[in-house]
Amino acid sequence: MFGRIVMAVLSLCLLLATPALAHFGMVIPESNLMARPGVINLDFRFWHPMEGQGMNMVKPKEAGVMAKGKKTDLLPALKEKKVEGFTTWQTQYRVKSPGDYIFYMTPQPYWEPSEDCFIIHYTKTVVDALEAEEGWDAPVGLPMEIVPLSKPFGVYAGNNFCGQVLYKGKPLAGGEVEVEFYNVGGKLKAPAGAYVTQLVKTDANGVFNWSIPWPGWWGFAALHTAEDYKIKHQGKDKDVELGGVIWIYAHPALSSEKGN
Amino acid sequence: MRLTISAVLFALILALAGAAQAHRISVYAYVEDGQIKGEGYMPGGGKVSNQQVQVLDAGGKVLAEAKTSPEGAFSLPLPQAKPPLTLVLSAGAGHRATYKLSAADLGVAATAAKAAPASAAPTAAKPVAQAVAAGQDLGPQIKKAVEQAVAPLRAQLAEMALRSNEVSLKDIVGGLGWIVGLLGLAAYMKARKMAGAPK
Repeated sequence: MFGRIVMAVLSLCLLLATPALAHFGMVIPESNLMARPGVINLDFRFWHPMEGQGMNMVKPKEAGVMAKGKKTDLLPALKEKKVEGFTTWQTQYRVKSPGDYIFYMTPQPYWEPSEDCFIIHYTKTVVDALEAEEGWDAPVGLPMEIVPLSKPFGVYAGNNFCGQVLYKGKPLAGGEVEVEFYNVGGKLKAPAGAYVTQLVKTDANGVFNWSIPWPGWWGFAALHTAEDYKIKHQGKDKDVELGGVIWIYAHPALSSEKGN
Repeated sequence: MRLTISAVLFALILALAGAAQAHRISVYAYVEDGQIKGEGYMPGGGKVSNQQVQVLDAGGKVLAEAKTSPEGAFSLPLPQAKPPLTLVLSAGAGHRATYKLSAADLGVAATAAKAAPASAAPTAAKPVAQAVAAGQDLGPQIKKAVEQAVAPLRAQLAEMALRSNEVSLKDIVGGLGWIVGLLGLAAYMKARKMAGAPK
């Protein structure tokens, strides 16, 4: 009898614990605006951003930066760093001239037992150097990607963010885009589970709009199951969930009352 | 009639002000092959062509000037002057952009010589024409003096680049300092007013 109760409680815990957590690939620069040329620190990780819950990420398959149509490999410069006990990756990049720098990564497929599938989040973020404001709307060419239709930097909290979801370079209609706040250290508490991961669907042209409610880093993850391949797990073919993720920083809205 | 003219003027002023906002200009420069090279540009990819670029010394004296090419590019001779140098791009109607070239940007060596003669420093402030005329005799001396002067700054810059988190903390502390200072000033003014008021 006692054993049965323990089992019931345990399985209930497992059931309750798994579904709420949304995964996000993350590429976060120390700042998304650079007033001068110089060195910028970048952070690559796989995380539950709103819960502030970490995960281990093995070294990505690809990491790079695209600027003025040219790609530079950053993989050899990635250094492992433990954050809250989890494996993340860091690098530094020297920005020499004005332009928009799109930093991106392709992680290794991540096996997620609770969803019975592999996850690959192609992740990127845009850094503008010296107010060039040119190149932010160029697709990197990742298999799953959000191309911003509104400028992805110089954004105020309250602004609308508009993007187009591309799957293998073509607009994805009716696709789901999950949105989460990077809740550093899990300081903010969502009032209920429904608030943790926001969701918006794309229209016939693969376009979505979403208004950023408060300042900080926001991640947008367009999700789609790979149509043309599966990956084997313990001898069985499993689905691969592809994510096209972009991270946007929103500045606090200005207030004339406060005099800023 | 007069009303019409003022209305037109008002509209013109508004239009000009609006244009100035939408067409922000920027200037960027770097040192290569003993020259200052750079570009005048606008956000979103526009180039600032056929406009004046000046390089100023720390005292605001114009050392050299040039015009941007149709592609916004320019090059200037690298003046032998004490850093920092400031580039000023002027495109009329309130369009002005500046860019500072620090000692590090100018490629001054980090190895500061202790034995820089004190007399070298004032020569750096002499008019460019004179310094240029003096040519190679003054060059090494000026360079030494400049190196000595900027060595601590260079070290600080390098440290700042590596510890950007500390810089932001400094910014916060600095901001708090401002708040405290302004509150103090307000309190002082209030106290003065109260003391001065008739009893």
